[in-house]
Amino acid sequence: MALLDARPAAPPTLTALVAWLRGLRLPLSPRYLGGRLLTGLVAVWGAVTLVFFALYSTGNPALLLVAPDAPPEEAERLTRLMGFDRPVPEQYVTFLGQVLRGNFPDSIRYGADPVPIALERLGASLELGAVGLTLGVLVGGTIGYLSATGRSVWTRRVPLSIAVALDGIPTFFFGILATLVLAVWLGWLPATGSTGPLGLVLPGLTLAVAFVPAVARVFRTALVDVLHADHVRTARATGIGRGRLLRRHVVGNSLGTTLNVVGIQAGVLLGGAVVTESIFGWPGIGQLSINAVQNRDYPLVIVCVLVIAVGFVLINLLVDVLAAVIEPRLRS
Amino acid sequence: MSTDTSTALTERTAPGTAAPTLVVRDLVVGLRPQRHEPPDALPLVRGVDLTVRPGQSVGLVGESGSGKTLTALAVAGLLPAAVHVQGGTVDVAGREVLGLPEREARAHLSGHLGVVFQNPTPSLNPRLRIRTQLRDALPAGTARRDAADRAAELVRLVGIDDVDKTLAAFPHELSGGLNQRVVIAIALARSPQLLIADEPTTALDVSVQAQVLDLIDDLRARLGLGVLLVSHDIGVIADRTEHVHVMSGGVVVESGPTHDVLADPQHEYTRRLLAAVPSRLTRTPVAVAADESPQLVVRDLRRSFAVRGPGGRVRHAALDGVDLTVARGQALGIVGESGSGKTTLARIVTGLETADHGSVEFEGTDLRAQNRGQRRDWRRHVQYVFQDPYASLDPRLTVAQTLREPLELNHVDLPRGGVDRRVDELLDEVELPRAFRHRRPDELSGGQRQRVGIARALASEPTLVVADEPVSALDLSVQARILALLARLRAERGLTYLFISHDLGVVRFLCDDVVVLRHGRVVERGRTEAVLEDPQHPYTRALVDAVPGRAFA
Amino acid sequence: MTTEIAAILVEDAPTATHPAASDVGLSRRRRTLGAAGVAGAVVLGVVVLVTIAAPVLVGDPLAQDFTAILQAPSAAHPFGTDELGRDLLTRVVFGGRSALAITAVASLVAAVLGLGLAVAGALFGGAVDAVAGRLADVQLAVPTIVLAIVILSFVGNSFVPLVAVLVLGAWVLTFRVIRGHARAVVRQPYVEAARVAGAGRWDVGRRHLLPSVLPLFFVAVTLSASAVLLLESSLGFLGLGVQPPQPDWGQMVAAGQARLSTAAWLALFPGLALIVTIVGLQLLGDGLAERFGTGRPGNHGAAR
Repeated sequence: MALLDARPAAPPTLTALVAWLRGLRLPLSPRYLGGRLLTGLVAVWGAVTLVFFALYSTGNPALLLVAPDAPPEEAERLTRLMGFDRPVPEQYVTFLGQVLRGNFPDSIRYGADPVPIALERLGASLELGAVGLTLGVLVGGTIGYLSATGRSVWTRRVPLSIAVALDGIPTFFFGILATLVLAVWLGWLPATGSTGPLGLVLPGLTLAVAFVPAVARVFRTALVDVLHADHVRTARATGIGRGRLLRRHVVGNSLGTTLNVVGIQAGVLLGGAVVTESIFGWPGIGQLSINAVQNRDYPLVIVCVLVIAVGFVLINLLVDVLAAVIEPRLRS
Repeated sequence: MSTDTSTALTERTAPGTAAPTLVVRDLVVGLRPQRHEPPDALPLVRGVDLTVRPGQSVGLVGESGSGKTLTALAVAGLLPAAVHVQGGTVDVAGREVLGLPEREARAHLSGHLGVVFQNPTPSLNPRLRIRTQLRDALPAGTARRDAADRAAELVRLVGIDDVDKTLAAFPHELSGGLNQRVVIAIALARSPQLLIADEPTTALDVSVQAQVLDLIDDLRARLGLGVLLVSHDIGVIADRTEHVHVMSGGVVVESGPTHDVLADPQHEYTRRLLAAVPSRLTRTPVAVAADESPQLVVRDLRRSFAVRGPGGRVRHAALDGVDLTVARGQALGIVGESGSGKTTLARIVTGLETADHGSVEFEGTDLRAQNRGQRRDWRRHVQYVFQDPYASLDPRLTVAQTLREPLELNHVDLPRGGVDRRVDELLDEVELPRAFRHRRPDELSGGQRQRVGIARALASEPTLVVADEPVSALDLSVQARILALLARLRAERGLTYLFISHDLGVVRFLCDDVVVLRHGRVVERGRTEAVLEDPQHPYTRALVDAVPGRAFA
Repeated sequence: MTTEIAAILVEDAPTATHPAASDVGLSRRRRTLGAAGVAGAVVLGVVVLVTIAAPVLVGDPLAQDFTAILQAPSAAHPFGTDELGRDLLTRVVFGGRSALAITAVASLVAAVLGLGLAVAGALFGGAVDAVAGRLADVQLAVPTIVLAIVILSFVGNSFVPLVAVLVLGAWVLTFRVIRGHARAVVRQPYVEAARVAGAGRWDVGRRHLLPSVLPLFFVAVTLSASAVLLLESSLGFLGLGVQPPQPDWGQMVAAGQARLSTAAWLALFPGLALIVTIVGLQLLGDGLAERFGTGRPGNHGAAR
């Protein structure tokens, strides 16, 4: 819109450019972004601290971080490197420093730096996450939309009831049921361990179903709220068509709230992603971390947890920024 | 559709003899029958007739539940889903719309009728800039280039000077008054012949209210608009309409030229309604025993709050150095518009809020220097009556439980039976039947709740009652009875009142003296009659002048 | 006086549906749980009774019978047997014992913690409220699965750490719901009226805040129990929860996954038991929410 107001004839000088940028009124103040970033950093710091104290609570962290068959010197070397022989506050600072520099003990299982191992798996997780999220938001959004705006009892009630019923099924059990029906009984799809496009269907579906009830319910509530808002009546009085009214004034105004509430549930949904990877042996970071726990590969556990925490913070940041772009009142 | 806006807006038939823009005949509006309920309920609006001619302003006045808003919404085709038109005809600009298919009716109405609603800011989409909302409201098929000009012109038409800034703003960045002008601009975007205004200024301060009503008047004259003005405020109706319909219980009980109806009401209901207008209430003078020692002294009171503004957080001074002296038995009115600091003052005096600076002395002792006994005395002697009768009673407690609370908390020495007797006395005092002691708030009307709120304040035998807009949420006739109650209690008990109100008529009825607050400062004080009859400060004068219905009162 | 009273009695009709009244005051629309709520309560009651009476009803969940390995459901073994010949029905019933015990303890502790922080924040405001709010923010920013992996792998997965993880993951659910309500209540004029009448913080808490918050608390406990059970079973499935040979629903589903094509009942029955319990809790929670007119607090951040 603002583009239309910029005088086309204005000379492209720097001042004009600055004025033009001001006119655009960028939706996000540096202040807002800074605040969000700070919250994210605090959360990552919280995760690191949690890992430190969990390690510390085991008594002798160094023994945990080296292979069981490693020579005793290796544990001693690590003790000195990470400062495990010094007082707790100093240990903590040293630990923070090592984390910041990305210095971690070698993975016990892989015998190599755990950071690249974890990062390498991130791609597969993102692929699955993108498929699951897209599918889940589309289906959940459609159900929420139908249940809020549907004209007949059937369109309003039936899809929502399905979504509510799905809410009572744990993600892992849905994944297994889907495998049983679609792969074992019907034989349409490969069961587990395939990374081809077909192999993406079951994990993607399972992850999507983890999103659907939350998205449907939150979107529906937001839509119903907006439908009763005064400004919708103002728009109706201008003779706007039903479709345009719903798109422009109802759906648009519901997205911000929906994004916010779903963003709050992102942690829950992340848990669903880890479970999904684990069911289908999807080679992502979730499965890697669960395997690392089972193999007692503690250096790898720490790195996985930190990568997940940082990723989570970045996702939250993205959600906040998106919500502010959609909802102008959140910007100030 | 003409895009040459200047001609489109001005070339209209002169008011007077032209064909009516709105004719409503025998309109019936009722609840949509529910599946399992027999449709035996009486319709909410029954047999309303209305006519609005070009350039004419017609008023629809009544109390809450009278059906005035439903009538207006039915004409505009904007009834809520649970309600529908059950009979009658609505003829807008020469075309009957109730018989038309929905889409066609919508198109015809939106092209010939604009609507202005009560709450300006929520009536605009918070997510879209004013420019976008105005453009959306233009007739379909307006060219892009023309749309920009037309939007700017509409903003100018409703008297906004800073066109570019307004167009680029979001609703939450503008004041309520500006937003109401924008809503009017949206209503005018399709060059309607009829403007329906449903309580267009109820949510606004008096001075802003006058400006918005002036604007509507001006547009009516310039554009030859027919105006249907719905209001509960008889002053507004008296000032702004030629013809009025008085509604009560879903029917029009009286209609006629506004001046005639107000000067010589024929129907019993209209007479009662007019008698309840605060400025017409007859006040019984209360003799205040002259007392040298003031009961309440407020010195240089300051309080500021952090407010989120467009440029980050700013300190906003709610009170900016207020001095007050209240004598025992005096009734002091505090008037001012929203943001004047009047509520903050009341809250500090009752201890609900603390001041940043300055002192409050009650019976000669600074609130901060009280010892335990003095503090307990102060708690009992200073009581508060709240504005919202709905929120000021705990929904889970019965009337008796609510009234017992202050007795128990103050350890008033009363035996068990004594507490019950005291509850009965309090109910008598506020003219409520004793049987009401077992009722919960949701079984009481607004006026009854406010009576319980007053009884609660009286429970601890106070000497100073601070009342913050105690009648502003009530209908006119209820308001009159509560005011009479407050006046009687003062006369009987010699209470001191600190009475906060935005309504000068109410203050005139109840208070001997008045203080005018603006931006946290006292701009004028004196005897109520003197200040309201002959205001000295320009702000007070503007405030007094802005009150609607002066000619009528 | 009497005519005056008559006038007051008719002065206007009771209006229970004032918007300001309905957004905080819990309206009393319905006195019952509704059909779905009652069904949830019954289902839940049966599940709880059966699991409590498990030692009387069924045999030993660890008893192996190598003559009856991986048998399909039959009259002798209604749910079939597993690869060690253990009766699956027995194991499902006993699996409910650990799942429900952990869920009950964790959701109660979480709800009380959430209630305490929310009420304290509302009553004391200022720093207390800010700290409580900040804690909730941090909890939301550190996903529960991360907490679970760190604590359960380093500290071990016995009863206490498991409950701790579930509490840490679920307290925010109750906290957020009750905090919003409690903050609105303490700003209500009726609470201010009590303060003017001489009520201190404790009086406000005792007379107005707690009674007002309690219905919501019961709703939150029920719905957070369903979230806790979901989380508990997910952890069991991931191998982070109750360890074999002790039976646990999530863990049993994981064990059954390997034999999905040959012995699907191994995964199906514990999973169905889980669903029945979770749905029972959700129906009861929704029924309570309807009954108290609070809306469904589960809309704002369940834990899975």
